Amino acid sequence: MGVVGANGSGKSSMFKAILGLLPHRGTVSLFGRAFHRDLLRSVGYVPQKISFEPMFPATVFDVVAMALTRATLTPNDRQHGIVDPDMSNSEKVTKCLNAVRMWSLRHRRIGALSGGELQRVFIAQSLVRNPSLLIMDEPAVGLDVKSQKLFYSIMQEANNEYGITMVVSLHNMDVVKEYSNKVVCMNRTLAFHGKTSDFFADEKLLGLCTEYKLQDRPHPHEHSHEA
Amino acid sequence: MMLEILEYAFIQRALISGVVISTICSMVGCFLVMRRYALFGDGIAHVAFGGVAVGLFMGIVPFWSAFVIAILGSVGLQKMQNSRVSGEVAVAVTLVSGLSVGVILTSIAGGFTLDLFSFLFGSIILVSTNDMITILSISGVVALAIILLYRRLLFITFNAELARVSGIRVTLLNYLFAVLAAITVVVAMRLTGILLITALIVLPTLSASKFNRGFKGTMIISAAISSSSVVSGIFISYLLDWAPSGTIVALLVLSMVGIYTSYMIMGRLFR
Repeated sequence: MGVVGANGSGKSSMFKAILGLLPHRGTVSLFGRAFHRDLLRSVGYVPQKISFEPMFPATVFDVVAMALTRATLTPNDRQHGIVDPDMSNSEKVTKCLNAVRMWSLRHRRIGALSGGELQRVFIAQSLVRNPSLLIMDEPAVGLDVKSQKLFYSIMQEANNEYGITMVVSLHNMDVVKEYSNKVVCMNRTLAFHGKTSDFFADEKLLGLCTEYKLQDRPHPHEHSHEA
Repeated sequence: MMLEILEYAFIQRALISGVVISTICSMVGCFLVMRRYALFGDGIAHVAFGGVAVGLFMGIVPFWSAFVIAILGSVGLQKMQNSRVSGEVAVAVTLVSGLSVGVILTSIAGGFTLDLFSFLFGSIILVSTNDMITILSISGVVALAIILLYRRLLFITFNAELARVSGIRVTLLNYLFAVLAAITVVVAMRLTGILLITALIVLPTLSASKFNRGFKGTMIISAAISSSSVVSGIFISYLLDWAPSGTIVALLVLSMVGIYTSYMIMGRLFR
C-alpha cells in the first residue's frame, strides 16, 4: 500500500500514531483490533531518518540481532513468515541479512555504511521479528537510481514470498503506480483510500500530492486511522 | 619500591576502590557517550556539589546528601529530555541549578572547608575501610543492574524510537539508567572530584572506541584503560607527591592522545 501526500500532509504523523509513538485523540485499530502494545509484535517499522552515533561500536550483524532480545517483543510464531520460529537467533539474522543482500557486509561497522545499505540493514532489523505488516516512511529518499531499484525489488520479494504487507510512504508516483495495490492519499486528513487505478484516474487527487499549499483542514490527531 | 608502597593499607584501599570506580564509570560512560550525552556526568556532579553543600550545612554526612540530590537531579534531567529539551540544554540547566545552591549554602556556612575541597578535587587516598565497603557495595549494584539490562540499554542507546517500537519500555529504562549514572557519578567523586568527573566517563570510551571491538569489547577495553590509568596514577602521585585526581586524568588524556596518534600514523603507513 502506497501512502502519498505533499510534505506536511500527515503521513509520518499517521505512522507514528499507529505505532503508539505520538499522542493522539481518537482510536487506532491494528489488524481489526483496538491498539495494544502486544499487537506491535507483528509490526515492523523503518522510520524516515534513523539517527545514531556514527562511532557506535556495532557491526551490521549486531544491529540486526539487537531486535532479538528477550526484552523486545519476540517474533510472532507465524509459520509462513521470513523467519521460522524454531531457528536460532543467529540463523534468523543470517536469513534476513541475505534477504536484503547485506550478508557480505555483516562484519562492517554500522557507521561506515552508505544510505542505501543502512536502509537495508534497518529493514532486516524489522524483518527479523517476523512481522505481518511492515511500515516504512519514505525509505528510498536520498538513494541513487540503482539502490532504489534494488530496494524495491527486495520489498516486492518480501511481499510476494513471505506475505508481508507493506505500507510505504512514497513521493515518486511512478513507483506508486508500479508497486502499490492500494493507495492512501493524505492531506492533513484522509483524502483517499482505495485501488491504485482509481487514485490515478482522479487528477484532483494527484494534484494534492504535488502541491505544497495544503488545504486548511483540522489537525490530523483529531481523527482516527485504521491500518 | 613498588612492592613497599603496596604494603600501605591506604594505598591498597585506594587501588581497590579506584579500579572498581573506574570500571563502573567505563560501563556507564560507554552508554552515555554513544547516546551523545557525554556531559551528563558533569551536570550531575555539579548537582551533587549542591548536595554536598546541603549535607555540610545541615550536618548530614555529605556523601549521602549528595547521593539523594544527585538522584533527584538525574530524574529531573531525564524529565527535561522527555519533554524534548535537548541534552546539552538540560545539562546546562541542571549544572547551574546545582552549582548555585552549593555556592549559596557554602557562603552562608562561612566559606569552603576541607570536606568540600575533597569533593571538588577527589580524595581517593583518604578512603577508609568503611568508605571502601560502601564504594564496593554500591558499584556492585550498579554493575549488576547494567549487566542485567545490557541488551535493552544497548538497543535504546542505538536508537530509542526503534527500541520503543520493538516493545522495550524506553521511558522507564531511561529513568532507571539516569539514576544508575547519578549513583556512579557520586561514587566516582571520591576518585577524581566533581571538577574532573567527565574525564572518567568520556576519555576511556573515546580511546576504546578506536579499537573497533563491538560495544561489549569497547566497554571492556575502556575499563582496562581506565583501571590502568588509575593504578599508575596512584603510584605516580605517591612517588612524586602530586594530586592523585589530576595525575589520573592526565594519564587518561595521554592514553587517548597516544591511541589516536598511533591510529593516525598506522592509517597513513598502511593506506
